[in-house]
Amino acid sequence: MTKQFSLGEFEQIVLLAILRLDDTAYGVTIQAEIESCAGRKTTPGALYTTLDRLEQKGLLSARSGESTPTRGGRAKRFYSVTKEGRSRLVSAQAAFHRLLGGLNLLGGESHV
Amino acid sequence: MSKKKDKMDKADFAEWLLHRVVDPDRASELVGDQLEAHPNAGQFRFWMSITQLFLIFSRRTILGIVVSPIAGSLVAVAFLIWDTPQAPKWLGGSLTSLVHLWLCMFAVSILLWLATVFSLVRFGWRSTRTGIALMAAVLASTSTNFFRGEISVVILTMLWAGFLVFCISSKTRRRALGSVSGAILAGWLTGFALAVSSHDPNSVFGKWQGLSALFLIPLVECGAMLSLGRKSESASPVSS
Repeated sequence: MTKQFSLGEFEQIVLLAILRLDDTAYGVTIQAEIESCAGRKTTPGALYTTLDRLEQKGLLSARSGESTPTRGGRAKRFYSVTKEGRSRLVSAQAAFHRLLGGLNLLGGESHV
Repeated sequence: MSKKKDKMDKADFAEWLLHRVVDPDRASELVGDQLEAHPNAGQFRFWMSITQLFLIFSRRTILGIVVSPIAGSLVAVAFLIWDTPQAPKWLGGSLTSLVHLWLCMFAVSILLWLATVFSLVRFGWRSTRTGIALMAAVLASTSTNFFRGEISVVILTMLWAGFLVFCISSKTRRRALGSVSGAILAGWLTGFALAVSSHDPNSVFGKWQGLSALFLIPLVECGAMLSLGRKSESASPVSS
């Protein structure tokens, strides 16, 4: 059995935000997507270190993009989720679903 | 116009600052993101973000500079548990050239362990620089311990020759060796300059030179290792 590292909650959020943004995922848009979808304010430090960590694990790939005047002519860095990243995300989400299976957390009818 | 120029100036300075801890492209991207995310934000918010990024990406470097002199010295001394007090005795009993050579080797082994610990904290286990520094440090400490008798010297010389051949047989290892050697040289020259400026006949360093050496040597050595090693392997901010 190969040893697999688990994905943290914030790592999963970042991966999902990048998947939602498709080709337009870079620092600013990822931060905005997390804030609008998860209602979670992220600090630049937390976001960029997570992006770096995911890239180092091979779950993300990055490419340089265009620059705009608002950025002072500085290039963007676009991220996309690799096949391995998608696979890890699915595994992590499936684990949550399995753990939730049969539980009746809110006391009503179970929907899981 | 002046406001725009001011914005560019602060962005350029922020980029220069972040370039100290991440690669140039990454520094440019990070500053660009901050400019785009808060186009109308004041200086305070912009600099709070830049300061936070700087501290996060430099935390390993700062930790390495703080930890490496202590850990490096402890490891180097721990390697000398066998014969250290007897070293001057078996080398002739007085400050002969052999004793001087032995002291030099001991100093080099401390510098090498310092480089190893710094590289371990800053670049991680997988870094070529960490591996090369570790091998050199083990060899230097072993040489310091067994620096006596013809057979030992021959074996140690062969080990060093093998290590050098191993290093120069690959481009990455050559660069790593260059980075480690440059750092050791920088640390050595700093120590030498402090020793020369000291006029105390009873010790290598005077009072303030000794105190300065504690901070300056690790700082210069780690700084040299960082600046010399930029091309030897990608300085990923993750490992920063």
